[in-house]
Amino acid sequence: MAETLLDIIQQSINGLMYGAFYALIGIGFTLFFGVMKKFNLAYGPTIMAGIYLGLIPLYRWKAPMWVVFVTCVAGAVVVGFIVELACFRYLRKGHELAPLMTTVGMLILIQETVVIVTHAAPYEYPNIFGDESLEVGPFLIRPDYLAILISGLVFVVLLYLLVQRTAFGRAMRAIAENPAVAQLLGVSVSRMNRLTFALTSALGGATGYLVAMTFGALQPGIASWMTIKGLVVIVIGGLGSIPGAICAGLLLGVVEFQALWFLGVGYRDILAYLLLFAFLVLRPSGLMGRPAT
Amino acid sequence: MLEVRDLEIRYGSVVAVDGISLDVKEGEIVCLIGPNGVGKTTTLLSIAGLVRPASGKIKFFERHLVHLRPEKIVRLGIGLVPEGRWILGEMTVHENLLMGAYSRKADRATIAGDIERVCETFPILRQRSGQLAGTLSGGEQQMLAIARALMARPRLLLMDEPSLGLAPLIIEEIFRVIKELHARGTTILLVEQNAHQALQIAHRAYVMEVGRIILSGPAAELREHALLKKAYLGVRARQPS
Ligand SMILES: Nc1ncnc2c1ncn2[C@@H]1O[C@H](COP(=O)(O)OP(=O)(O)OP(=O)(O)O)[C@@H](O)[C@H]1O
Ligand SMILES: [Mg+2]
Repeated sequence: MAETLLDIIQQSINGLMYGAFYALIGIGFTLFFGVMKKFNLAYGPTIMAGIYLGLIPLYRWKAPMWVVFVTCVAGAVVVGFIVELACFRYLRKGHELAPLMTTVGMLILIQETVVIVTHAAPYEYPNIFGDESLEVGPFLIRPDYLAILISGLVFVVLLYLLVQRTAFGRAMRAIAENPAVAQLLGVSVSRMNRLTFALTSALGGATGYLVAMTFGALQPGIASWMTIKGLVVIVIGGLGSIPGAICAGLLLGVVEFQALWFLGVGYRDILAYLLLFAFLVLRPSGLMGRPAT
Repeated sequence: MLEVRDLEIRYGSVVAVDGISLDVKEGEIVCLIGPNGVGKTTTLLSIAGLVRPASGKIKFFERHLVHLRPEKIVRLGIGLVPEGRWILGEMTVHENLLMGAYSRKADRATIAGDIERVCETFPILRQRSGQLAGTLSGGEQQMLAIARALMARPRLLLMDEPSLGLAPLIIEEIFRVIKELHARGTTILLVEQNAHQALQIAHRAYVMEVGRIILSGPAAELREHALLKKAYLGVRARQPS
């Protein structure tokens, strides 16, 4: 009994740490949605492409890991820029659903490009934190998970300051609330779109760099996996709410790790989807979203 | 200063503005009056760049505005106080004012000074500074909308029915402020249904009727015009032959 309780706590710790990653993907989707009122299903592939591009200096020139990190971030930003250009910029206004199609197309395109380039072979990704867990009382803390949590906290604080305290953040909130007013006051919507893409892609690349370490080996399927996690998080958290995305990401992490431990690997995603359906049925507006009008 | 020529604006197949021309000279208060749905708002929105005209010219100090985006136009010195206020309800009053200065490249101290100045004009905004703008009363929201437009230091201020839905005392206040802004050097193009009061403070006026301008001239003359006297009483004016 006591042992079960310890297990639950241990898996909750793991889940919270890993959930910080889900929260960040959810925040990315929330920022896209806030500024553009559209979904970017190519967000997962953008992060994945950043991670794979980070492998190039590593495999070609045995570059140090900070170079890999910079390449991950820069690579994600470049791919994000391409996604914005190809899937959003020239679409006519008012076609709210068109980016669902263009970004699904992009998801497949990026994922398959990586499959072709890597011959679908998994690539080993070094873990700079080693595999020695920290012992805290009766619990084990994986250092790579801890790094995800800490970087998540840092990013959330930085994003909070950016959104609440800077002119850029105010412009972002103004567009989210009323694009016409924002324009009238001098905000360039197209420039804000590009900056939002740069910001979310950089965030994705930086987090992806850490998350890739927890995988051990990379395979292109993580692209759609990350997109799906992001969508689950924004549904659970409530569309358009950053605090909602944070809570939902952490909750999803905890639920997945309990499932993983007590039920087995196969149940991890099943429980995540059960959680998603529970919210869709019982609380469609999510944890912090406004009830649909 | 502002020159509008043969402006035509359509929403789909509906012609909202059907070839109007008007001028605003520096230092004037010009008002545009007319009954509901004749295209007054549409005209202002197209000057501000939010609605693209089908044809015609809009010139501001010899600059053509028709193909410019709204964010460019505000930087040229045209501010709009939109109909229905359009304040940012989920941001504080202070943040709304900061957004008003978004288009300017000014340092914090200058902007803080400007906020101080608009708060002198509207002392209530100072009291409400940290409050969410959506929780303000209608009159307070209107004052915020005007104050926010002023934060961009416009040379030409377009005002769309600033007195709409407000109590008589607040309307007095708003008109007092318009006169004060004008005295401090802002040129104003005012859209009003409150023709009586608008004609008191304006130098010149244009009267619109379904997409066209049917009358124009010095405000003092229009005040005495038979057609307008009828319009005050709610009788629709007929096209003069
Ligand atoms: N977004 C729109 N789509 C379609 N038609 C519109 C749109 N906006 C306005 N219209 C139409 O254009 C015409 C002019 O509207 P506008 O709002 O400019 O009138 P207005 O003179 O400002 O009226 P009011 O005094 O009631 O504010 C109206 O017939 C209106 O129905
Ligand atoms: Mg109107």
